[in-house]
Amino acid sequence: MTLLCRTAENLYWMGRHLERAESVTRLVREHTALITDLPISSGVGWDCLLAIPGETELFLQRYDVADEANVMTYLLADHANASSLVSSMSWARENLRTTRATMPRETWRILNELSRYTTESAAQGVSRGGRHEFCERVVGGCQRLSGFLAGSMGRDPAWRFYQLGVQTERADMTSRVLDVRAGALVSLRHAHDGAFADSQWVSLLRSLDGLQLYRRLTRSLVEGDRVVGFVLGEALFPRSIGSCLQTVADLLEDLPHTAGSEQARAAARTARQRLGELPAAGWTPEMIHDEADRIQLSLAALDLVVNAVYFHLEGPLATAPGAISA
Amino acid sequence: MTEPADAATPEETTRYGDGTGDPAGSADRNGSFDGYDPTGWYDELVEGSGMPRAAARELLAHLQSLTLDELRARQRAAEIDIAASGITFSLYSEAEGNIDRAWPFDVIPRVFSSTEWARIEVGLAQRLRAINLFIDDLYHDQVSLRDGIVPRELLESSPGWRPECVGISPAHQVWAHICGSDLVRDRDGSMYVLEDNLRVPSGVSYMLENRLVTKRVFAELFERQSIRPVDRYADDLLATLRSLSARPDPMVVVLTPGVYNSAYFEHSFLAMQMGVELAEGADLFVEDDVVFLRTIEGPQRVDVIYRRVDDAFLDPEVFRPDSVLGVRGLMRAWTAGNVAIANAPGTGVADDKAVYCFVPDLIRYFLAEEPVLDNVPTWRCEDPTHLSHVLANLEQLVVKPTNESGGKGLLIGPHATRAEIDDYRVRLRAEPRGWVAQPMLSLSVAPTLTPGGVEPRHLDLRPFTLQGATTRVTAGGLTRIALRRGSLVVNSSQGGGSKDTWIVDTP
Repeated sequence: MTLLCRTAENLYWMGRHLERAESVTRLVREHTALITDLPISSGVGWDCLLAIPGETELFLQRYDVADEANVMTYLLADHANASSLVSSMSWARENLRTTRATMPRETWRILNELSRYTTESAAQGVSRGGRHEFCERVVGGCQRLSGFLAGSMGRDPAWRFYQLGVQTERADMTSRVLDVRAGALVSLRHAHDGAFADSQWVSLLRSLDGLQLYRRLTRSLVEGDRVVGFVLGEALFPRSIGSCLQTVADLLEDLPHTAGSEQARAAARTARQRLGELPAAGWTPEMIHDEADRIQLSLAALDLVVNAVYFHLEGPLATAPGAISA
Repeated sequence: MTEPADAATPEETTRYGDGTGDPAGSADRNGSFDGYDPTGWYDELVEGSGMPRAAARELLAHLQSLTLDELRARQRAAEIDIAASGITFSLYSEAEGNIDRAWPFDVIPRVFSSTEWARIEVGLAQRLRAINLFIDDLYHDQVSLRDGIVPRELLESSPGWRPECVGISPAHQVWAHICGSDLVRDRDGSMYVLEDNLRVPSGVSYMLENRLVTKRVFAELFERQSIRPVDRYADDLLATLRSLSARPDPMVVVLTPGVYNSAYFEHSFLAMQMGVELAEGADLFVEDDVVFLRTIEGPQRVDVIYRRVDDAFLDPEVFRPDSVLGVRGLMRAWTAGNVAIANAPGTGVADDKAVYCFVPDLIRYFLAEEPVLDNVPTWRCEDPTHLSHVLANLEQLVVKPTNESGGKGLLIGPHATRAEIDDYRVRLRAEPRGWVAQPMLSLSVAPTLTPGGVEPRHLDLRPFTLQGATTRVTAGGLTRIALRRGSLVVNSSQGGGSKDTWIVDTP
């Protein structure tokens, strides 16, 4: 089994872009459902959807108000926004285009269809009436693709790099959702004006596709500290940061142990370990923010090491006589 | 070269295009072929008498049982399938840069009888074997030049000649491992070879995709008759490429110029079908005259490169120093015999329309056989008597540059303006070596679904021939059609389309 460095990098990014497309769409879908339920007096607006992916500043360079139409356009349909849904899809498609030979043939067909649908129907997603259906189809399409790959791809390095991208992006997004949404909700609890906090915690879990599992595992009400613990570390929840990091550590363990790769494995282990040592209750907004920050920094560091070890081994590393395997 | 006589009696079978234009279907239901009239052309599916050719009988009966609307629904299904599968070709436009277009496809297949195809297959294999012996001779003893089979000046003036290749001996004496020949049929039914594409011929992936689409859209037809499958091509190509290396379990890669090349779809398609890596120049490097691939596990040795990059860009050390598409040192590795390159560098010397003229002579000379397939009669303007004939008859001839592909730079005399003809007269006189001329063939037609119903459209065929340790020919090839009425231009970059090509067993 041979895998080109360039192909490995493209697979990794395809995984990241697809995961980003799915999670942004799910966020949009759940936030729309939440806002439809909440009275205007709740003060919940659309701007937090910009804060989660860290896009507020870029948004304000090109739009004046963060109203529904602008935020939806920016997140779903704006080709000039490099992390919008349509951009993520077309990046994923470009990444797949150059890695098609390593993927099951049907992959291209599914992604091509999905990417065409997304681009052609993004306007439907911007309008509130058509949004739910649009989001369902996009999330469904992403899941069809990931389900197809899970069922048909060999568990070879190509799979591992694709999964590495998915899991890294997933951990990143979960940490951002936690930071922005949970941070705000925890402060509501302390101010005794959390009349609608319950439905917002529910919405947070929904946007991570974790509500049902949370209820079955905890057999309790949706309650702030428990949700934070669940999202951070629940080993059985596939979108918890702990699960993602555990998977990343396992994937790295199974990739070739080449020069410098121990650094990547060590970084993943350390980040995972820390999550096991967090408090079970008493979360303040500052604590959540600090933790999310720490997680994002370790993910960024991990990304850099993987880049250097597997994607861009230039010069001496690539040509050192000891490294030649033929 | 004519089809076996049709055994069916006229009473049993619908007639197509008897010249009257009268509907031929039954009274209560109009078949999609009602009014189809290819009179005046050689039709691939219909005989001059208006009867279906034997190999096309099942197909035509089925198509006639559909109404035009039903046939259009099949065409739409095929187009949706093509869009969903992302079968595209790229066009370069000044305004938009590279754009991907859906592959233009006509749902009605073009049919050969297996008897006729057997002969074509022999002819194509014969041609490529002779061409390879000729190239090998050019880079070694040049006996064919000494014996006057091909004029020496032709070689010396060929832009495809690579002095760097003199004395190199590729495996099996084969230089052109993959050849895409263009075949056309004239009004009288004779097949001619129009040209042999030996550099980096493309189109085979579309041949394979066309079949997949047709099988989805016309599944029922494949049950009723024996149509030769085409999907062996990837295995055949891989076997051919592997036979070029003496090392056990050789590593094969496809070398592509990258995602912006117009044939990228095909490069990736073939790599995927063969299960080999699709590499760009930057993925390869040469050390101690050995080629390596940059992989996540470190460098891995490469034994065979199926390159889809032109000679000029292969190795900046030897050819164009500004090329970023190739691999520095690749020619050293090839010369040292440490890597096989398909097609071999220097092969282009035979992909020259002036050399083409001599292929029948080369077959007689190297193989001591009579050519099975004929060339289109061709005048080489380099020869003064040929040139004066061409200049006197420009209005009737098709003039082609000797070293272009994709239908570029053509003058079609009968369709040209006075000014264009005068312009070519000057260009031919100035540089006779650069041009050949051929009579305007009356290309055969086949029924094609058009906005106005089923109508005849002109077509050609590009089969692919492989030569390594053995020689193999595709079962059929890529049929290209001119979509506009009366047009003879089949190139997809210039508004051409394509059809599935069937080799059908006839009783």
